[in-house]
Formats: sequence, structure tokens, C-alpha cells
Amino acid sequence: MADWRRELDTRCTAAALDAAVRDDIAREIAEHLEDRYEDLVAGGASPEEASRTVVGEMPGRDAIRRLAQSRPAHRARPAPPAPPLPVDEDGGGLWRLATGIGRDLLFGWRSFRRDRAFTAAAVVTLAACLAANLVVFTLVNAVLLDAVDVPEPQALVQVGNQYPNAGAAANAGGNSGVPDYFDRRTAVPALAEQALFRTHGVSVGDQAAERLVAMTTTPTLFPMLRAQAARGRTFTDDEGEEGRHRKVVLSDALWRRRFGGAGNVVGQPLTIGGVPHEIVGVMPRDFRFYDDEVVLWLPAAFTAEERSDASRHSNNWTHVGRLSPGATLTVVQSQLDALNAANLERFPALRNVLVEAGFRSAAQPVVDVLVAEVRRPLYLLWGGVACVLLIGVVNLAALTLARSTARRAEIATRLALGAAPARVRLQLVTEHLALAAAGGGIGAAVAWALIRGVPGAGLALVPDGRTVDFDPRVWAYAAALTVLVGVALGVVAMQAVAPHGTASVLRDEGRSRTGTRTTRRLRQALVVGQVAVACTLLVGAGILFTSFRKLLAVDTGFRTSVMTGAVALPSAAYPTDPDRLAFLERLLDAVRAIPGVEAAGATTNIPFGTNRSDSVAFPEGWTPTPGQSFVSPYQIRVASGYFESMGIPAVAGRTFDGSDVEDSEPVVIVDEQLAERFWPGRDAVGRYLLQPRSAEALSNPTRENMFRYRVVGVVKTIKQYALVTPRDSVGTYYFPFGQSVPASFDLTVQSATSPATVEQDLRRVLASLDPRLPLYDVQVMRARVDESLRARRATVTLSLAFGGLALGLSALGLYGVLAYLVAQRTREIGIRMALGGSTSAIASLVLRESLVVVGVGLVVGLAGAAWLGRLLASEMSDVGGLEPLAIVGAVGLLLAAALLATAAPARRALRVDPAVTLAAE
Amino acid sequence: MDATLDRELKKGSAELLILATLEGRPRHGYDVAKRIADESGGAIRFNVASLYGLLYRLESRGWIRGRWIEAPAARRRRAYTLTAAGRATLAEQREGWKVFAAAVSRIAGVEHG
Repeated sequence: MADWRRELDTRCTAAALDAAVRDDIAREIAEHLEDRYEDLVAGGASPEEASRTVVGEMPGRDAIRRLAQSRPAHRARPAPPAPPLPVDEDGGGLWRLATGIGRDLLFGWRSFRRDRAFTAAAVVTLAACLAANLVVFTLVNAVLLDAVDVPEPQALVQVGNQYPNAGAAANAGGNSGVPDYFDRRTAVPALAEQALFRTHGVSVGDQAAERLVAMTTTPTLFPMLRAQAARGRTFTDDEGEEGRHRKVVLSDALWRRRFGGAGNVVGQPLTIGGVPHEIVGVMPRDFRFYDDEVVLWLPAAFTAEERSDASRHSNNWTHVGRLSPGATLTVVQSQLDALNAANLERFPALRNVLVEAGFRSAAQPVVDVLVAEVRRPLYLLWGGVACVLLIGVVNLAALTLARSTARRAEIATRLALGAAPARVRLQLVTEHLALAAAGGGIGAAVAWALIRGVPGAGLALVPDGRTVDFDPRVWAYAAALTVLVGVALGVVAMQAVAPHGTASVLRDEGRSRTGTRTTRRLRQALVVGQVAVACTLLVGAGILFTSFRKLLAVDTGFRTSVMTGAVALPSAAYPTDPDRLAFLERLLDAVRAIPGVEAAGATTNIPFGTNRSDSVAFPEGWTPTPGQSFVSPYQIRVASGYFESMGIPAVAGRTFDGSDVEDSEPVVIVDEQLAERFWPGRDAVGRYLLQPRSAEALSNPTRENMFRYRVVGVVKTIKQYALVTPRDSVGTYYFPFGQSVPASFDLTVQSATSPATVEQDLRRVLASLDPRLPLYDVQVMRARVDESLRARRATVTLSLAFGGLALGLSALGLYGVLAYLVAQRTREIGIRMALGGSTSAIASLVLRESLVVVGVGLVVGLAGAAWLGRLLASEMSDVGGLEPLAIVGAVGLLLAAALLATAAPARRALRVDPAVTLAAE
Repeated sequence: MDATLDRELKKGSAELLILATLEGRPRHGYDVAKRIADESGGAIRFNVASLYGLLYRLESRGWIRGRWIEAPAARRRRAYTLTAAGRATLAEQREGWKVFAAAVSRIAGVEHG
């Protein structure tokens, strides 16, 4: 309470006015002095100076008494309030409200400037919490909300074939085939428009070709996405026919980079894979679909073989459709099921195989498919960071409550002196909105700087090429959170205005207040909640951290120091298998001749790369019994020297060498996992592996409809595509390049020299053999493995950061409660000390409070952690639920933080001087 | 000058000043004092007790009327309005003051504009 108000109260009391008169006169004088005070402060006086001046001008006790006597007689009773003044020349109500808010802001600014510690704590807490929330929301916004940037993205449906009992097939590459596409165009009318596409690498240019990602698609894709070319056009329907399909549409980025944004690019030729194509269009800058790395589109012209029934269940394509008006996913699914059931009858030969494999075609929203991998971690992070904000706001609420309690007397006086309650409430909300805006502004700036400036700030969760930035949605979210927090704090502050009788608080002014006990209980409960949430978050972060560390310790099964780089042989320059094989052998010989190179090989499917392939195979002599399904292991082609360069040891038989050529017996190498599955407990070497020439062959395997390979070796199983082996993985088999020559491959080079030197040497060697060929995607294996952990690492880093923030905030909350306890009970502590209470008894008073709050918080928090652990385990296959280490770590950290938070208030309690406290009361 | 005369002069002129300030629109006490201080360039200031003493006296005589005003988003204040009797008094006092001031000027030799 400002000094002058207390002084006025004292003088009025001393003047011994009767209640009605006092209410009338004292209130009028108080209003006058309030105006004077505000004018003085607005004029630059400090609140203390202003208060002094006002006291100096205040009528004395006798003057007040005289005034009361000269009071007009007709005012015997206070008149009922008159209707509001008519609007005068100062302007309308809106103007008055605006100037009122302006004055509130000024008033709030002054009041916050007085309470520097409170203001700093509030702004820093809000800034930290809001920055964390905005960083996560920016990611959520970029990844989840913007995943498919086309009109009505929810209407896009992906249809994929699934063979759950056949192993890795469900995870590999595309999941639909060309015959399916033509079937579904007629049999699934619920998808009004449909398109089939696949992405792949292409070499672009004549000399020094570059390797780019292309999407080959039916011309139907662009109309289905409601996308139009920014220049030229997209494909016409007849460009999806062989002979007319040498056309290309460029992305905006490629057009600018390769053609300098030239206006006359449409109609120009572009060599792709050694064949000239005509550029027919350029897409708008913001067009992207499915794979952000795609920079050019080619029309798909299906061959008769691709359309034939022989290629059923050869799933190399992605099939997407747009729902017909009014159709739902369920309708699509039932039409798909009906189509598949009819096809089972149409192709009885496949029936058993497909039924055992659990075959079905599933319809899913494209949006879900695209963000499947990062959606769960992002939602978890979003939830976690919202909890952090909650903890922070609870802290601020407690601070605000304490501050309002201190201001309660001041506000009660203002109310008693005639201030309108609505006016006071508006002022409190305005004040706290301004405070939240300050914190929110700084938080947004920090988040913006993090997103813009720190490439590692969780952006790893975002697919390559996706831009992450503050867009209007992020700003709106920031504003909404800020307003929410500001209003919440304002409402808390209003507690000082609303429920308490103003008179009772006035009377209690200066002494211990009523409601103290309830307030303390409330604050305790809030801190228990904070500790609980912090504990849950910390255990959650700990679980992610420990499982991540386990993941880092996983043995990949290959040397991570191996240097890799990709080469693609254009079919125009290397049309036949022998051409390609000859080049490959020359290349490998030249690479092996590089000084320092210890071993060199090549593969079609570099581990942890994007190229995946699987195909059905089974041991000769095996026939599935009812309930057994054929399986589809990973199928990889490798050059001789691959296993040696990768450091993958053979456990039986041999690896590939120069003797495995086209004319020699077809051979295969299997990994231990597949050997154990196909020939359990027996030696796999010398046995035969069969591969069907078509899916139909599976129902009746014969010498004619099967490829037959002799197993010449068994190698150690390695991690093929992730450190966590998929649960349904069935193993891998390898073919030699000599018998199955690829058009593109990754070199694998083990060298004693540095990666930079090896890269330089590889580029030089390749250029010396064929200067048109680019070496691309050059990476050390370790980088590929790290890349596969990118999203995981980001999730762990962010969750640890949020866990730490939660820990710090709840420690502050605990400190607040204990400091409050000591402050409230200073008198009691003084008396106890005066009566000879031991220091340990007094310290234990504080400690007990701390222990109760932290203990209850931990119990609740661990229950929450058990739930979170189960949730995490269900989301991530390598997380085993509650990790003991995570629990110990979280509890330890919280106890340490609690100890720190307890120490200062306890010391303050012990320093209480009985004489001083008792005298003060 | 005799102290009594001084006080009476001031009192008379103070009443005139307050009535004149309230002419045209209602004002609350602080507003009245502030306006008089501002208009007089700070030469005439009221202390709180005498201001309200005067206001109460004027109200008792029925020249002005005070009412508590409650406006949304503003503090409660008592605003004073000139009554019909007050308006008549103001006209009367204005005339008297003109005559008085002109007489003083003539005798003291002060140019009056």
C-alpha cells in the first residue's frame, strides 16, 4: 500500500467520522489525491516522491473534521449512483477505454519496474518456455501440417500391397504394381483420379552429367494434384505412351540452376540417361509432392510386359488416388477388397501363396504415410514441451499470487475509495498481457534465431530440402500462447480483487492474513504437480537417451570407415551387360591401384542407403505347409571384393570372385540369418536357392519356372537399413555382378588414407575412364549410419533439453514455496528460537516441507513415467519401457535440484533473529 | 491590506472562479482545481481542504450539485454541476466583479483591457 493511502486512512480514522460521512468525504478526497498522485508519477516523480508530496498536501485530522461539518445537509444519506456522465468533448467511450488502457500500460510498466526481480523471473521463464514451444511448433507446422502442399490434401489416398507374413516386402521400395493400377482405375471408382509413380536417380546432361532425382509418373498426377506448370505445360495423356514419352517437366529450382531461369526453356532438349528429352514445362516454385528431392518429372510409358499379368505383385510403384466427392476411405477399402477377392478367383494359381502371405491392399491417407516416421516423435515432443510451458506458467502463477497478495491491500484500498472493480480487473489483465508479450516476444526471437541460425536445432526431424521457417501460422500460434498465458496470469492476479471482502483485507493489513493457509496448500499442490510432470518428462527423456546410447553401441556388422560413392552407367553409352561389366571391372582395378586402397567392391544396395529391394526365394525341396508363407528376403547384387572391403566375414564357403561369370553356374551367397531360416542347423553351402520366374510359378515350382542358384558362401548378417532390425526381417541374399550386371552401383572402398584423399582419387580415376560420369552421393559409411539416426538424435536432444528446462523450473517452483514458508513462519521460527529450539529442529521444519512436496511429486511422477514408458515402448521397437538408469537419473537429478532449492530458505530460517522478528510484530 | 479584507476578497473571487469553471460542463474536484491552476498559470492554487470546503458551501447554497458518477472502466468520482441558481449567481458575480475591477483599475491607475 502506498504510504499516502495509509496516511489518509489514519487521518480519517483519527477524525472519528461516522461511517456514512467517512464513505462520502474520505472517498472524494482519496479520489482527488489519487488523481494528484498519478499526475505526479506521470510527470516523472518516483512513487516515493509522489507519495510524499501527496501526504504533504493532504488535509489534517482537524481539517477533515471541519470538512465533514460543512458537508451539505442534503447529503445525509449517500445518494444512489447517478447514471454515467453524457459523453463530453473528450471523445467517446472507446477513446476513453483506449486512453484508459494506455494509462494501465504505463501504470503496469511502473509497477513491474518496481518489482524488478519478479519481472525478470517472469520474462525469462516465459521466453524460455515459449521459445521451446515455438521451435517444436515450427517443426510440427513444417512437417505435419504442411506435409502435402496441394489443394485438399486429405482427399489423397495411397494404396499399397501388403504381405505381412512374407517378411521385409512390406518395408521395401514401392508397394504397388502396373496391373494393379489399370485394375483399380475401373474397379475402384471411389478414387476418381489415380496416378502411379516412382522416384529414381537419373544422369542429366551430355558432358559431366549430374545425378538428379526424377519422378516417373502417369500424366494423371498433375491434374490429380490440381497442379499446373508455371511455364509451358504438364504432360498430355498421350505422352504416357511409348514413343511419345521423351518429355520432361522441370522443377523451378532445376530450371533456375541449370538454365539460369531462361524464359525460352520450353521446347529445348535435355539429355537424360543419354537420351534427348524435350522440356515441356516448368513447375511453380512451391510445387512439391512426396519426395522433396525430385527436381524433374518424366511421363511413365508402360511396356506391354509391365502391363501383363506376369508382373503382378512386382511392386515397384507408388499408387495414389483422389477421393471422389462424397467417397470415404472405407468405401475405397471395400472396393479394393472386392477387387482383390475377384483377382484371387481370376488367378487361382496365386491363390494359396497370397492367402498364406496375408496379402491385402490397404488404403491410407497420403498425409499419414508421408509423416509416419516423424509424426509420433513430433507429437511426443509437442506434448513434452507443452508440459514444460505448464510448469513455467505454474511458477509464474505462484509468483503472481504472492505478488498480488502483497498488493491486495493496495487494491482493496483503491476499491474502497471508489475504483470500479471492472476497471481494476481490466488493469490487471492489461498488465499481465504486457508481461506475457515481453516474454513471448523474446521467446519468439530466440526460437526464430534457433530455427534460422542453428542447423542442428531439431531441424533434423525435417526431411531434406524442406524449408522450415516462421510462417503466419507460427506467428499466430506464438500470439495465441502469449495471450493465453497473459490472461491466465491476469486471472490469477484478480484473485486478489474478487473473492475477498475489501474491508477484511484492510483490517488485516500488515498482520498475517486470512487465507494464508489455503494459499500455502494451493502452492504446495502446484509444486507437487510440477515435480511430478518434471519427473515424468525426465524419465521419458532418460528412456530415449539410454535407448539411443544402446543404439549407438549396436554393431553394424561392417566397417564404418568405408568410403562410398555412386556411379550410374547411362544405357545410351553402355547398352549391354558386357559393356557395363567391362567398365565396372576396369573401374575396380583402377580403384584398387590407388595408393592406400586396401580393398574395393561395389553394391546395388549400399547399407543405410535408400535403394531397397526384396524378392521371394526359398530353399530347393521346400514346399509350404498350410499356414506357412513364402518369404521375401532382401536381394542385393555385389561385385567381387564387396565383402572384403566392407569387412563382412564369410562364416562358411567363399565370397564372390572372378570365376562367377555369365557362363558359369549361377551362384548366391546368403547371410547367417537367412541360412538359419532356410537350413536350420545344417550347412547351407552347396545347397540350392530357388527364385520364381513369376509370381504364378510359386503355386507349382518346376525346373522351368524357377531360377536355381547354388549357395557358395554364408556371410555374417549386417544391419542393412537401420540399426534396429525390423521385427519381420528375414535375411538377405547376394548375387554376383558377374552374373547380374547393374546399371548403377555404389563403390565401397577401404583405404588407409583420409576420406578427402580417397574421394579426390576416386573422382580422378572415374574421370580418367569416362569423363561424362559423375561420382555422386560420396559418403563415409559412418555418415550414412549417423544419418539414419538423425531424427532419433534430434528427438533425444530436444527431449533432454526440455527435461532439463522442466527440472530447472520445478526447482524454482520448490524454492518459491519453501522461501514463502520461511517468510510466513518467521515469527514462529523466532519464537521457537527464543524458546531454545535447536537449529536442527528448525532446519527440519523446512526440510520436512521440502521432502513432502518432492516425495509426493516423485510418486505421482513415476506413475506418469510408467505410463510414458509403455507409450514409448509401443512407439519405438528398440525401447524396452522403463529403463532403471533413466529412473535413477531422473530421481537423482530432482533430489539434487530439490536440495539446492531447499538450502537457501533453510539457511534463511536459521538466521532468523528472535529479537528482531518479535519486535517487528 | 487588512488581513480580513484579503480573505474576503479571495473567498469571493474563489467562488466566482469555481462557478465559472463549472460553466459549460460538470467537473470533479481535482479537475476544477487543476483547471484553475492551469488557467491562472499557477498563480491561483487551492489546498485540498479549502477547495472541498468551498465546493460544499456552494452546494449547501444550492448553486452547484455534486453527484457520484460511475462510468465503465473509470474510477468513481463526484462531479459537480452548475444549477440554475448557480448560473444566476455566476452572472451576478461576474457583473459585480467587472464593476469592482474597473473601479480598482481607475483608482490604482492600472490599464485594463
